[in-house]
Amino acid sequence: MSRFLCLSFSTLLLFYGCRKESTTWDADYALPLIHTKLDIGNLLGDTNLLVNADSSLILSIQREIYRIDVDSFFETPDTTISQVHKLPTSATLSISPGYTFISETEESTYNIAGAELRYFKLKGGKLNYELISYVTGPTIDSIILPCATKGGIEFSEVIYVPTSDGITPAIAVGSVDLNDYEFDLTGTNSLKYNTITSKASSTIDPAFSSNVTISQADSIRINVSFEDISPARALGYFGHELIEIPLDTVAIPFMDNIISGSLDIDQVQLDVTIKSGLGVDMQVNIEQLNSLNTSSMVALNHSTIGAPINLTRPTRTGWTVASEIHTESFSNSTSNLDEFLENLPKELSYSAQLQINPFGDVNSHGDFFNYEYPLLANINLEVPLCFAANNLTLQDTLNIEIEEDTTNIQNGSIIINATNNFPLSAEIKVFVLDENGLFTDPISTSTLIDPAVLNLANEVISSSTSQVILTVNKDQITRLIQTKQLLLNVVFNTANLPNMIKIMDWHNIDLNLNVILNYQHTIN
Amino acid sequence: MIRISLVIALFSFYFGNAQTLFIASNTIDSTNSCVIEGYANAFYQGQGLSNEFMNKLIFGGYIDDQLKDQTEQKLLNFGNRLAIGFSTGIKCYIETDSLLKNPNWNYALNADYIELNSSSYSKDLFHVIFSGNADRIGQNMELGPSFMNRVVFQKLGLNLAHKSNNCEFGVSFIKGQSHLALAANKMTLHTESDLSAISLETNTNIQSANKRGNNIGALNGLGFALNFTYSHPIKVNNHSSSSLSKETVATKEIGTITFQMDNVGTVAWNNYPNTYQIDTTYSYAGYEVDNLFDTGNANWLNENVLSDSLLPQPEVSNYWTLLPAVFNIVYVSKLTAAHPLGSVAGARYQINANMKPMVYGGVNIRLHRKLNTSVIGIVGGYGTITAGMRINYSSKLISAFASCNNMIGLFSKKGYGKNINLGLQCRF
Repeated sequence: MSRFLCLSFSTLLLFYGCRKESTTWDADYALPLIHTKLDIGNLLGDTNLLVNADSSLILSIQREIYRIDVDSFFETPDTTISQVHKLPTSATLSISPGYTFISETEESTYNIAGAELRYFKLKGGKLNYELISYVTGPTIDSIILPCATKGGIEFSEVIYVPTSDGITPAIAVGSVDLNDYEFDLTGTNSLKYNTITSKASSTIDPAFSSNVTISQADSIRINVSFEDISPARALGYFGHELIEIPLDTVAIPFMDNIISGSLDIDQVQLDVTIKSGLGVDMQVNIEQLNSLNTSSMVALNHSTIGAPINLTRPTRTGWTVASEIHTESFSNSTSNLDEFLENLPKELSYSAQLQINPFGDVNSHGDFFNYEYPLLANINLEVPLCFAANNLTLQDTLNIEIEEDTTNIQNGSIIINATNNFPLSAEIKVFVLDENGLFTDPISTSTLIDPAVLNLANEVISSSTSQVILTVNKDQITRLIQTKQLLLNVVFNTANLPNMIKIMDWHNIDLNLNVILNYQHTIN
Repeated sequence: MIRISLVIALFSFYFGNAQTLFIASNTIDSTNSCVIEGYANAFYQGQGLSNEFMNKLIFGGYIDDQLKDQTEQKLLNFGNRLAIGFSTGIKCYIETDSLLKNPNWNYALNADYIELNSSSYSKDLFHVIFSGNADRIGQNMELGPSFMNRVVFQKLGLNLAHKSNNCEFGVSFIKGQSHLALAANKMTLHTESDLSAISLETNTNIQSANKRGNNIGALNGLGFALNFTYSHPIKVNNHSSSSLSKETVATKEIGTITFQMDNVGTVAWNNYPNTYQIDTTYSYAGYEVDNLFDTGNANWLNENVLSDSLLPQPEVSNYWTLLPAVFNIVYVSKLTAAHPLGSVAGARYQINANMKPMVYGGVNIRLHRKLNTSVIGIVGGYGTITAGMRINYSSKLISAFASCNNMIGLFSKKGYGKNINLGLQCRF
């Protein structure tokens, strides 16, 4: 029997135990991956395009480029107002429970950055208080702001302060939300500015069991401060401040990807619109506006650059403001705007001045502010998509996250079959990082997408078909997974250079992305 | 003890199992009261699949393009066969004269393990698996008709043997370990010339029963099987006997013709098996992406999403399958010292196993009183033409054999498949 078992086991070993390594083979599989159709709206965004009657397109970019933070006009001082309240007499008194021994009204005037305000309403902010008492009995104190109302009810805060031993003070702290409070800043005689009227009182706790002996030494100190004040509305005189907008730059992200080549564009229109809901007279001076490329700078030349622009104050009905709108238009004929844009700016630099109430308080403290009507500047750039691109080169680093298991993929090709209706060609090059961390390892083996076929009028009459092939080997796949980065370099050329071509709303490119994978099957 | 000898003599001619094509004749000592025999058979064979290819497929190694091309050139367009099998078992004959109150009957108990993986496939199916479809862009690939059947089961049986009529029959309880069957009556893969789509037109049924695991202890089905063997001696007139009258002409046995059926039965796969019925055309054209620059479309190639969208939902329902029953008929001439050279011929067919009928014939040679051998030529089965050989040893207490249905394949890379069959019989 044992011999039989040995024989049987040997047979098993013969077939299954002799495996020394995995069984592997390579097979090439072809399958479709993605089908997509791209029009100019996919590239530039549908909301940025206008269509003319002849189906030609206009790139229309509307952006808010500047907004003044009006809160800065009314910045409240970061100081604490401290008031000491004591008995009006030098005598020492025995105060019975429930008796109010201090009741005082005071006015505090604030310095608000040169402004003289008569009124404001808050949409945010807090009043912080601290009561320090040396009274040898518990007191009930109140802080009342007769000038501050919310829904017609004046501000009032009642605070319980415990007993002091006369040496160590009893302290009570707290804060009150000032949202929606309206402040009359004209004081008790209605002739002042920036003035807050307050009333403080102290009463011995009626529930206390005995009289409390109080002298002038037994004072109560009230410290009050304002925090995070955010005005919603204001009236008064906002001052004569000159606001400097120093030389600054703003990056244009998409343009940053253009690394070389030239772009010749046709008519361009740029409107800069200043919309003011701030109830003051203003004078704006755009000192400079420059187009900055890596190697060149083009300053925008226009009659308004460097000259003061007067903005009259808007009108209001109640708190509804009719904002004042002022537009300055720049075009090829009135400025060097085409040269400004053909410089392919990666950044714009600018500096300006803004003068508030250049002629003083000509409206008798009639300046107004409603946060719902801000002061801002918009641009509206309209570029007809009629241009000539000569080796216009876009380059960008793409972040690639490959989560699929690619262990068995030995190499592969992505074949892009393109049917192009755009009158411009694209040469596509893709690189992966090499061992030194440089994008010098190309994976594109066939790179050119031909432009559509044009007639003598440079109009598209038929599409072209092209094939772009990206091929990666095992080593490149491994590096791609590790580095998660690709470099994409695309060179655009319009057909029939140097003639300009028009992009129509029906132009598109149909892309079929297919893949051929060399897959290694493994049986362990 | 004479009866024991008869029993052993009766059954020993086919000891081994139904997988062997060879018939052994054994000399049994009349003192035996019990016979225990066992066998083991292992093989793989694929018409067109060389050993160089199969060795790498089974035992490991890299299958390069040259080997794939050489192999594919030898395949038929349709109906290529491949099978891998292993079986082993043990059987114990007990001598008795009281079974069924009839001294002519004895009984035997057997236990077997049988595993058979068989397939019939097209050349294009081989190509798409081992080479892919990248070089068949714009063409149809006929992946069907292709069939695959994998069945693993164990059986425990009780046999009754009639001592004088040279027949035996038995019934076995079947424990189904696992089953997987794929029948692709039609399966056409088309890759568009511009690679814009791949379509698969198929009419395929799949049955799978392995929810309880795939190890030897798994119980995924229950069934039964019958086996039957009848051996008839061929006799001729003995004209050399001059002492007998014409009316009482003596006969002599020149050989035996044996009919054998094994594993005729069925299994009910009833532990939550899955069945798939697919009669449709799948078309995959990649992902339709509205905007390539929308990063929300980043997860384009998700294998799980793809498989969920393509694979049908299984239906859980019990089903029956026939066992891969074996039918054998074989003639073996009787060898004696005076006639040491004889012949052997037979035919064999196994149902539900993707094999072609097999016929074979050859010679028996008596080498020694205890040693004989057979050499045969085989046509059909999983191969085309192969040569087989068997060596049989028989002594008073032990008989043993080793046989092979594919001698060239056993030793040469140029051969097609391997086969080995070992048996041992001990008499007590």
